[in-house]
Amino acid sequence: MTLEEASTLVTQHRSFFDRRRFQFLDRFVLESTLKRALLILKGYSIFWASDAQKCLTSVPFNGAVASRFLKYWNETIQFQSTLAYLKNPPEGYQQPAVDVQAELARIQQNINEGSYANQYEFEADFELLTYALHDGHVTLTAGALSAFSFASPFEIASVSIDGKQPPRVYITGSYFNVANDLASSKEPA
Amino acid sequence: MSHPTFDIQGGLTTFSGAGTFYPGENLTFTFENGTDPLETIWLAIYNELANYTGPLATGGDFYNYFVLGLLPDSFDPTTIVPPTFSGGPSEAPTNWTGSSYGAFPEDPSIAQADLGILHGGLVTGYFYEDISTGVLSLPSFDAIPETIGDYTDAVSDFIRNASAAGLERVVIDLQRNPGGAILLPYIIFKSFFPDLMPFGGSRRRSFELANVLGSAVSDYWASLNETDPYESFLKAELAADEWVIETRINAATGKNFTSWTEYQGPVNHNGDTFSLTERYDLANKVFASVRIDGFNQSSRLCLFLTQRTRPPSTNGTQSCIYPTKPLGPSQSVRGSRSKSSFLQTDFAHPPAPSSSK
Repeated sequence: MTLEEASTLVTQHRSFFDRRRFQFLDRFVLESTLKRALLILKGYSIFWASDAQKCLTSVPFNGAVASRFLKYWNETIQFQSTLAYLKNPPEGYQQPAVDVQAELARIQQNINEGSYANQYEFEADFELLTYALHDGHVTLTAGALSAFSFASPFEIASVSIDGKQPPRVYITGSYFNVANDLASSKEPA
Repeated sequence: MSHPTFDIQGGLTTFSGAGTFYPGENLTFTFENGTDPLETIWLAIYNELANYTGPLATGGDFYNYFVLGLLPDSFDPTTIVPPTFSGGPSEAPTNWTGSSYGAFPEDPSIAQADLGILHGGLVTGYFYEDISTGVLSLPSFDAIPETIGDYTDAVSDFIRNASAAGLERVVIDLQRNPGGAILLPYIIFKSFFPDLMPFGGSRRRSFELANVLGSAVSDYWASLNETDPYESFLKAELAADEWVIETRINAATGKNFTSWTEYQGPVNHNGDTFSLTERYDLANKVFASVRIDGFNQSSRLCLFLTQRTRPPSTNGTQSCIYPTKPLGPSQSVRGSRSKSSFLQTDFAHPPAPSSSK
């Protein structure tokens, strides 16, 4: 990708600038947005995902550090009031149940048995657990996983073309062409 | 998925800029209408400022920095190039049209002061007199404290002008609203329904560390002497602290909790132990003012606002989750209250409001 293409990509996203109010929102998105934008202007920040993956899987794993982190996270998650309900969800909950304590024990077991070949494997397993809580207030932005954000160069949007039909998925922006076609093919009243 | 209400908040979607996990090398979009497939690659965006670390030449360097926070030995801080921003502060646009790539209309009937991605305003309103409907756009409750007055003014203006125009219906657009200042939806709800008192109750897990923390902070707060100027100041500053329970109301009795001991239960639910249910004391002005000035806490804000507008029989409103046809699981609002960002300092010493997020 050339610098011009990268700049165009970022211009399309237009998420350059910092906003104080993002102190609440996922800082991961904001900080990565800001820093990424600045670096794109220097041409250093966009890579093939597969290259980033080669980098991430070359980061060595340390069981002692991982165990210490797991213990710390476990102490913190005791404050999470939905633990029992995630394990035993009420009727109507649309996500799979998750027993957080059991999952932590499983991850610790993997650490003990040396099952994680590199830091990415461990962190991905751990991050999947945090996502399994489906709680926007349980976020983990740390370690090797925080170094890269993965991206499709094209955004997609779910749009109903006329506000009446069910929505379909489009490449963002391309639905204007479809809508225009639809409008111009309408019979005059 | 991208969406105009997300664009105006300046964010990147998980699909196109904030993905956590390696998605693969190649990415191919195929189209229903037979257009040639779009073949591209997945990208990775490096989030760190390269100059701030120097070269991370090995997996070990990478581990030391990203996992342990240690800079490589070769790092030379004099080589840091601070980022440059081109141009100065921009003038606030008076609509969301540009930021939403044309999705939001150009001339809102109501627009909060200083509207814009780079600015503090959030609220816009649109009157459609031909269909007797007003649309109030609330893309976020995450308002900078200094702008909350303007935020609620915009909502009040909307209500007043919509009423004056004789509009019969109001649609409140909360799409992609991530939450923010807890008191905002209370204020907005009361603006629409002045005679109704919303019930917002919460409880927490009752376990040893939480109860030690709560007892220590609440007992300390209660011991502060209001006749001493400094202690009185501190008492006011700590009034909205999450670990001070005496300013909260016992939902069962309607009276303030007298101590953490009264609050901590334990009450058994679903195989776990919880505190009693607490409510905010909205009549407590000190509480409200410190709550707003401190770090904002998201609560079940959208859920709150939508649940309080059900069922139709009590106040004539309905809430719709888009899409309206049952196509499968739809995105509803979640009901979690922010208490997640505890820092180790919370355990080390009693937190001041600004660090208790």
